[in-house]
Amino acid sequence: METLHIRERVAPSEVPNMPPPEKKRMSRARRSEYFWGWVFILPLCVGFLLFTAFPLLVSFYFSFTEYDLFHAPVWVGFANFAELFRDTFFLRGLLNALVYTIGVPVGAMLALVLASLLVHITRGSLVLRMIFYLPTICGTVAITFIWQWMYAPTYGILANFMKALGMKPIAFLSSGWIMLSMIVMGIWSGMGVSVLLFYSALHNVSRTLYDAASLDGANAFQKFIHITLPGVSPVLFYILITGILGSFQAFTNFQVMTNDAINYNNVMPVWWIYKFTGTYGYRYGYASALGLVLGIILIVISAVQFIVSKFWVKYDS
Amino acid sequence: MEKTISSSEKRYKAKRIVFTVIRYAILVFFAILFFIPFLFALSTSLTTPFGIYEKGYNWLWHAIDFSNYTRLFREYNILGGFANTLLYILPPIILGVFTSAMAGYGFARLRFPGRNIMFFLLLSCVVLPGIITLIPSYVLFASVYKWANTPWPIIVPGCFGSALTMFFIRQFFLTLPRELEDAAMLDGLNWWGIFLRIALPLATPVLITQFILSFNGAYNDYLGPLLYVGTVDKYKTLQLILATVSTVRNKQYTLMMAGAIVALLPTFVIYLLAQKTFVEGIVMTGIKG
Repeated sequence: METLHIRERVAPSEVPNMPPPEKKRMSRARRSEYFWGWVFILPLCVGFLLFTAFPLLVSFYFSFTEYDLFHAPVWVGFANFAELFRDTFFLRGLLNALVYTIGVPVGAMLALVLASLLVHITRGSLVLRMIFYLPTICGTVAITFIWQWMYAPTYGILANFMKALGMKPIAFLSSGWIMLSMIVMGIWSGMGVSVLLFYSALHNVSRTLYDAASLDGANAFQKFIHITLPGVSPVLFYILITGILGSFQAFTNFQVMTNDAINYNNVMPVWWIYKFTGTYGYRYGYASALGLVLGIILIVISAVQFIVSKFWVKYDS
Repeated sequence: MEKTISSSEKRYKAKRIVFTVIRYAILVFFAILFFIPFLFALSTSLTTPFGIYEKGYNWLWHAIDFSNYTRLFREYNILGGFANTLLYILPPIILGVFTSAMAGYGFARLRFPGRNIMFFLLLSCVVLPGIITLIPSYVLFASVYKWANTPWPIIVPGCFGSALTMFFIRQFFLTLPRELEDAAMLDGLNWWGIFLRIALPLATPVLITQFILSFNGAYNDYLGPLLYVGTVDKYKTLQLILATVSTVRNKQYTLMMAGAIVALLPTFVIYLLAQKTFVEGIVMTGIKG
């Protein structure tokens, strides 16, 4: 906050192309623009410093302490980091999160197929888009309730359905099936946004490209690979980046689905971190270290995606 | 010669019709797949608690029974939770969209020193995973601001606006013509007047979209309220109260479905009212709340 004010006061003289001082009127208009510019962005910047930048800085500090809120933080050096690399639940949580992200590319592909079907129809397109988008507006708790009932043993909807087909019902929430069940629920609840984004991207892919390809004798698959995919690649990239970030930080759906009963087969990193704010004692130093490491892993994953995107994302089509 | 053309045309037409039918078939199939869980939830919520366990229970055709809903409202403080939710989320959304619009306007239309640095700083932190600051924020709220077990941590930060909301509103302000401000300046308006009387009204559709997105996100938030007021019954939000309907032992699915339907009703109604703005607004801004 301090730097902000200093910059505000010092700043006008720093601007390189200030008009020469003889234009007094101009300079007054400029000064008013400087003033109002900072007034406009001030609330957001103050909020950013108080509630993002400051917590970000102290997260480094807390990560090196043992802190229970009631006693002063105790500096423990790298002990928290040493512990988390031996924390089998946290490591298993990372693995589970990795498995859970499989739903992101699968959901994106399904959304692309549906969106490319949607652009070719005229009647009912809006209604269909609304139906696909519907799960997205519903809260995770409500959605998880509905899927608890879908997956419920013996009397659940899918169990009944399988019995009607003469099959033996699957225990969808058992240790062997839980990840797949969560992936399916995740695709269902998040795909609507992808459909909308692909739909608008496909509208911008030029018709003439397809016509030219048809004249050259390209088949549907070739057209998809060489025209459709490059055309929607920025949107696909956006969906993969945000989807993977979201999946790795999934919490509510797992916690509600299992009634907060954590085990190796269902543990997710954020859920495990949450456990150190009460259930497993008040270990805010360790929880901060876990959050920091998870965050850095996610930044690395995003950075790799950005580098790889140079080879497949086409921005000018 | 003419005959062959018309027959190939006919074949072409037939092919097109077949393709259209296949397209609709696939789309409708998936639409049903996406919609059917809601129908089952609604149907289950209107069944007697033991009805679903009876032999020969018909999913689609059964006597309608509202007892789950009356029980839900009697045994759980649904209305109190809803009031709490609105109390916590409306101030940060209304104020937050306004302050985000202010910053979006400043970044889009005014030139001032420090602008680019601040813009870069704000946006680079948007891509930071939220989990990094989650626990440190909690600690700060509890130990520095002394807000432990109060709803203030849910209310206050949002009032300062969000960088992401700012970004999308800024994208809109960038499209306005420069002459707009020049003319207003000649009429004697200062920057604040231009923002309030000219720019903001023009941005109404964008603001509505951002408002709905913020509402959806805040209304459905679970982790934040759970951390800050999860142990205080009188401060619990609707989502927290809803979550208590599901218990480990003896899951009452009919009651849970009634809870789910009630909880998703507000956002559903807003969605229906603003469907066109919403569906197109999502496309414009390209982000989920």
